[in-house]
Amino acid sequence: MGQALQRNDGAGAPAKARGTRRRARLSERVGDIAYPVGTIVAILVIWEIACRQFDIPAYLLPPPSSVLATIVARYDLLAMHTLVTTGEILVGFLLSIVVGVVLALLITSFRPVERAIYPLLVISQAVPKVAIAPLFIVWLGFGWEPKVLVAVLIAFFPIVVDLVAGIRSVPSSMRKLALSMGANAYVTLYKFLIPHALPHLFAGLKVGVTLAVSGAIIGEFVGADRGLGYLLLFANGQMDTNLLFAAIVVLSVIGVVLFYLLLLIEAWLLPWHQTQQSPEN
Amino acid sequence: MQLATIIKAQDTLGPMSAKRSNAPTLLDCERVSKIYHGRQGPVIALEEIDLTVPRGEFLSVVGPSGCGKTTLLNLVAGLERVTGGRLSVSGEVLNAPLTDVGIVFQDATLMDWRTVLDNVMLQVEVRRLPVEPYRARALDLLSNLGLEGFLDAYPSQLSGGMKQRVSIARALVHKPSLLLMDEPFSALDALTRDKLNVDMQALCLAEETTTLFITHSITDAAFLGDRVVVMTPRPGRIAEIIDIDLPRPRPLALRETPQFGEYTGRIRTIFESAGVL
Ligand SMILES: Nc1ncnc2c1ncn2[C@@H]1O[C@H](COP(=O)(O)OP(=O)(O)OP(=O)(O)O)[C@@H](O)[C@H]1O
Ligand SMILES: [Mg+2]
Repeated sequence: MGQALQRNDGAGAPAKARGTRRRARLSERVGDIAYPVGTIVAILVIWEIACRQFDIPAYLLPPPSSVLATIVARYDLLAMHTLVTTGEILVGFLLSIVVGVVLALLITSFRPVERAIYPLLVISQAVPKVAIAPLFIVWLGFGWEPKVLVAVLIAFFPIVVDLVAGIRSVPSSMRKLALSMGANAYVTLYKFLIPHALPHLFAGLKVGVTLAVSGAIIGEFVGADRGLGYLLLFANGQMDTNLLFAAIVVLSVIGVVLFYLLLLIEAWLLPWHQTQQSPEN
Repeated sequence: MQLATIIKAQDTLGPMSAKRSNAPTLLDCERVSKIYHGRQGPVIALEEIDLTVPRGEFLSVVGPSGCGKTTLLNLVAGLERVTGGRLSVSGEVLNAPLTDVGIVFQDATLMDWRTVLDNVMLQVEVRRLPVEPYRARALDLLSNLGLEGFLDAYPSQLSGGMKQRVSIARALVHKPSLLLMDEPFSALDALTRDKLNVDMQALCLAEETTTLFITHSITDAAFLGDRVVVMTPRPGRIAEIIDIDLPRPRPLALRETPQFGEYTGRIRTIFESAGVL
């Protein structure tokens, strides 16, 4: 009967492995940064050499060094427009999280709502956003509002779809467990369904944030007097390819930074999830 | 709390069935039926189940796939309604999910986002029980189940057997009057299963919970059960209820003895004559 007190069904004590695992994870993280940075540097070097070697005119393809020089020289201009666009992206993304989460909860909680709303959601995505953006300008004017609206309209969709899928994937045994504990609808939602669906939600958020960037730019393309989308069109009209590239670089940096911020939040909120564990686990 | 000492103390009380023969009834099924209305017409999942379970009994239910074992568990847990007959727990007819219960599912159904200890404490949190005393009890149960070194581990870091142990601790931490287990060991390898059988027996002797243990395994059913309900499919019925009159605690070696073989032989004969085997 003493054997009842022993444990021998596999897996070493986690404490022991922790030191080596942390080291492995650190080198994994360093690699996560080193590989893409190395690739980008290599591409920039080839680009620079090619521009100089073949004497490509600057209005076609400026070398990275001159794009960088432009960014430094016109820092104030870029910063002003960056601030405007970043604001639109953030407001649009946060609103699309609210809209997406509320819709997903309604859809998964009430069957009639699902039947009424889901087809409309699909239609809302079938309509090309560039086509209806002018309408938003007519309704909302030339301020930040139509840009935010376009961003929301594109970005909320993956959030709804992924969160609905996440809540749907809750196993029936988990729902039975909640019932047997006497959990009401609210407790079931925040102690069982939402935590289970969080990894799915983050998958949707990662797609959503990049779409919010596109949405804000589309909105600015259609009608704006400020913002990086406006600056892109302006630089294009002036044949100022250096400025064009500078704006594109800034825009990409915004997208990448927001994406990695999400990754950080995810790692902090979901330390237990497989995506947070190094491959050898 | 040392499991070994509990078992020794229990040993002097003799076989459990003797102690429990006049215990009050916990679960009472009178001509209980369940009919599902599926796409291909009605399916009789259970027909006229008569079953009385006294408090403290360990009741095994064994039967082939599709004979309605899970259906029976869902009915007893109040997760589904009977379509005929009467089912009562502690004298009251069930018409809502039973909450004075702990359930162990075939897959452990742990919350991946909670550590081992927090998974057990989920039961306490959702029920709004006082945290301190139940935390002590959770730690006790987990260490009895050999998990004291893994309190802060996440489920993804555990083996299948360990996950099922956590699930068992979670099902018992709030001292439910009824423990329901639906093929809890069927996803485990034979050795892990044997060990869990032994640990399960020790726990149930210590806890005095009434247990409904559903299994495919004739050996597990007879080894653990005070009684074994033998079920046959299409429609799901009780073919026979067999008393297992073997003293506890039962060592694993008991399964090699002729008395034990007699019990398993009888169950096998029932399945053979029903055309199941
Ligand atoms: N929700 C349902 N709708 C329709 N039929 C069902 C439903 N649930 C179960 N059944 C049917 O009822 C019968 C009994 O099913 P049940 O799951 O209780 O069997 P079981 O003994 O638990 O089988 P197993 O050992 O494979 O788990 C089966 O014929 C099954 O097809
Ligand atoms: Mg079943």
